[in-house]
Amino acid sequence: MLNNTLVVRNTNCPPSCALCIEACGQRAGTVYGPVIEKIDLPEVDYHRILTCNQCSQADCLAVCPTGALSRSAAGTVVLDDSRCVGCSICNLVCPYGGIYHKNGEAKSQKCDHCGDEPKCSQACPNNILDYKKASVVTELMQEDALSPGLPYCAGCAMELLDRQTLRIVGKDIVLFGAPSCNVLSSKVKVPYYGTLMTNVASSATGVSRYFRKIKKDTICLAIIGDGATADLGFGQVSAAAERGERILYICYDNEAYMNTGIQRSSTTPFGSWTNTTQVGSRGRGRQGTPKNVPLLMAFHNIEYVATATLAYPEDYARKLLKAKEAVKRGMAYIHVLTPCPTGWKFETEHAVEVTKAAVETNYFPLWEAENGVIRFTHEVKNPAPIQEFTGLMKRFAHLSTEEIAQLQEYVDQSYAQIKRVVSCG
Amino acid sequence: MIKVLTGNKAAANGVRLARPDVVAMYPITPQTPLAEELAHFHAEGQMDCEMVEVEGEHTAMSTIMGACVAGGRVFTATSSWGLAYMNEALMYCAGLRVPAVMVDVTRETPSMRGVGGGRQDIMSIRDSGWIQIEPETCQEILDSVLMAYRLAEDPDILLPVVVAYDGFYLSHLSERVDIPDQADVDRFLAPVKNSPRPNLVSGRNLHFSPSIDGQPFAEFRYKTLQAMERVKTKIEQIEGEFAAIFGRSYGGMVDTYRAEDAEIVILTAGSCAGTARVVIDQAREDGLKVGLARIRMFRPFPREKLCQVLDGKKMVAVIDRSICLGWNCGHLFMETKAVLSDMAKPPRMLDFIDGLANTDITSDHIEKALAVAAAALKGKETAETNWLIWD
Ligand code: SF4
Ligand code: SF4
Repeated sequence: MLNNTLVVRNTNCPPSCALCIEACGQRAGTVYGPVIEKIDLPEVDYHRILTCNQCSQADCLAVCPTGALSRSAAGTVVLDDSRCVGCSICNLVCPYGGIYHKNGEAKSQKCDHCGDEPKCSQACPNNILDYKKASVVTELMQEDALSPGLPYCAGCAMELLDRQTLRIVGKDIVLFGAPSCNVLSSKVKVPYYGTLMTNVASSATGVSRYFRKIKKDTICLAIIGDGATADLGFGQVSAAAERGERILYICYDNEAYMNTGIQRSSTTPFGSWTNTTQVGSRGRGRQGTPKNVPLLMAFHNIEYVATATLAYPEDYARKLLKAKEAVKRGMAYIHVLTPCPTGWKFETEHAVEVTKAAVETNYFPLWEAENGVIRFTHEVKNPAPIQEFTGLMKRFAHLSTEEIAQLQEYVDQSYAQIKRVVSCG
Repeated sequence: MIKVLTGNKAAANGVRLARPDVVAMYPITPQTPLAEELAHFHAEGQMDCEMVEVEGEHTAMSTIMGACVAGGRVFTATSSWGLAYMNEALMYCAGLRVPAVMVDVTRETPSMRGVGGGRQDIMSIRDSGWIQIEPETCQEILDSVLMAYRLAEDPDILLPVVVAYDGFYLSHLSERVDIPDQADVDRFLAPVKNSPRPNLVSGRNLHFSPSIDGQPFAEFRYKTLQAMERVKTKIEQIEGEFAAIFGRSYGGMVDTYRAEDAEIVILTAGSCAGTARVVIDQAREDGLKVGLARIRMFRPFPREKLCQVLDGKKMVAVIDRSICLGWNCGHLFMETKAVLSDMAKPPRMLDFIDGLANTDITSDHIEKALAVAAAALKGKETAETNWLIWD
């Protein structure tokens, strides 16, 4: 089922603004006036919007004795005015005040997303209300193959990555893992093959070739770190790409060897502290620029290549879907920036914020390559300065103004390089 | 069908008849003609398998291991540096008890540009968990490849097997070879269908991973060791079945020739055993009581069988084609010496190193070894390790 959602940002509206409520009141077919409300508490400077959440397990729907409430194809909970007898039971069970009687009228009323084109969000000039159509994320979610409770550090973005990936790719897979933080053996309800650091792509080649021989479409899915991908496994990843092996290869890039205790890999950024690029009287963190693995993979002309992050889950979900199709024909590669709170040194609740900053500073641009064409999937018009990313973590804390400027230059250069190969339009 | 085939082509025919699902190979002298012959069979539609044109031996081993874990029958072949390069994956393969089959066309390793035959390469993996078969003739190469699959895939064994034959001396030597019929081979070695061993297509969400430690790991290794021991009886049983269908057999783990009443036994492996047979016939005519013991399986080491064959003999003259640095002898000598304490009347042993880097182990050399051994028996003072290449 599709699940369109009206995302209400948890930020204050300007105190005097009521444009969404006005727009709601004027929408076509309205009988009882607006069904979106604003809560104004000026004494605590609280001005926020409240409306129906369109809950996926909606109690109102379950308790309605007349069948007046139903779920539309778009996932919206809709009220059939002609069948509603105004018993108000739904009003009582809704914990959010999303369905109610108003002005003494005899019937309930609620938000119906204006039949899939919410006037409120169109009217909002402040980006508080955002209508997300057909969120592929929730729509595609299948059963979670991971067991609850995993041995990652608190706040690690990898659990998010694993769960979302597995729920979207589904259970008809063989999952490959290498020695790393992400060893999922005995923690996942799908066939699992633990490989060496060096030979993920070749092991997956063997399995996928056998599947081809016996005409089986089970997907070979590898979720592998930057060390095993960009460093000692790169030759085999490249060779598998060149042969066009049917492997869905996801590199989770946490920019160092984290499982062995934070040592530099070839994707560690300029200036970053690690335990093998230390900061001292002579050491200034990692020198030089990292290897751009996704771009190298794109130049192998495989079926699909993309970069992604979990801060933009829908973007990632769409890419996974494309990769899932592409892997029927050949290799698909997605490079996912996966912040490591332990190794990057930030507080556990900031993984998504950090990831977002990486995208919005153009440190990690989001793009995809299909049929020889590379295009941005989330173009950042006015990129923030790199400090907005580096400032969120301690691995860059020692950098001088000049070093920050140098990192900025590297980021700009790398972005310009991608920009040159991105097709216009 | 009788044909004149090189060792490499004989091996290729064995592989074709075994109907593997996935073959992955990287060319290296002297294995290359084998890789080419399989590519030829595949191109001609004579092999219904996935042919993976890999970028190196590490990938070749990793690929066949993957396909084998998935449930298929697999093959790769290599030599020398290729064997060294795949070592990590090769140890993993045996470590996880994946029943892959490989050919190693033996060759020296420390010589970079030289491509001389020798057994030094295969000795480097002797404790990895691979079963090692060492044929003497082109016919035996083909037959050993077929037996290798039976052995590897046997539910009581589940260990990889390498058929290691002499580079050039067998790989490029043409001999009369009887190529079996496919129907007979299928009777001996059924094509893999719904393999009963644990695999990735069983629908059981199995996990293949070395992520075990401590006691479970020790238990796993203990069981691997037991499986290796079971090979000793299993090979006799398999060879019996093979003989019943094809009418050929090779004496199990140790092949002997005129050894029963011999006082001096020449102990060796591989192609030079043929030369030794000729020398032995001549020596017998001259009245010397001499015989041959040819090690056909180096792993597991035929401890009990050797004990049977050698106990009570006066002298064992070992001809070694590899050197065991740090022991001042060859590998065959070193390992056989470890069996002496099992014997009631252990023989004296002398080592003769020869045939390194493609030098000939000629009948002259073997005669010389025999003469040295006979003189030593008569009381002449003799060094334990001798090099036949110079007088
Ligand atoms: S009225 Fe309440 S219970 Fe019903 S869908 Fe809206 S928020 Fe959910
Ligand atoms: S070390 Fe980093 S990548 Fe590994 S589990 Fe902890 S936070 Fe995640």
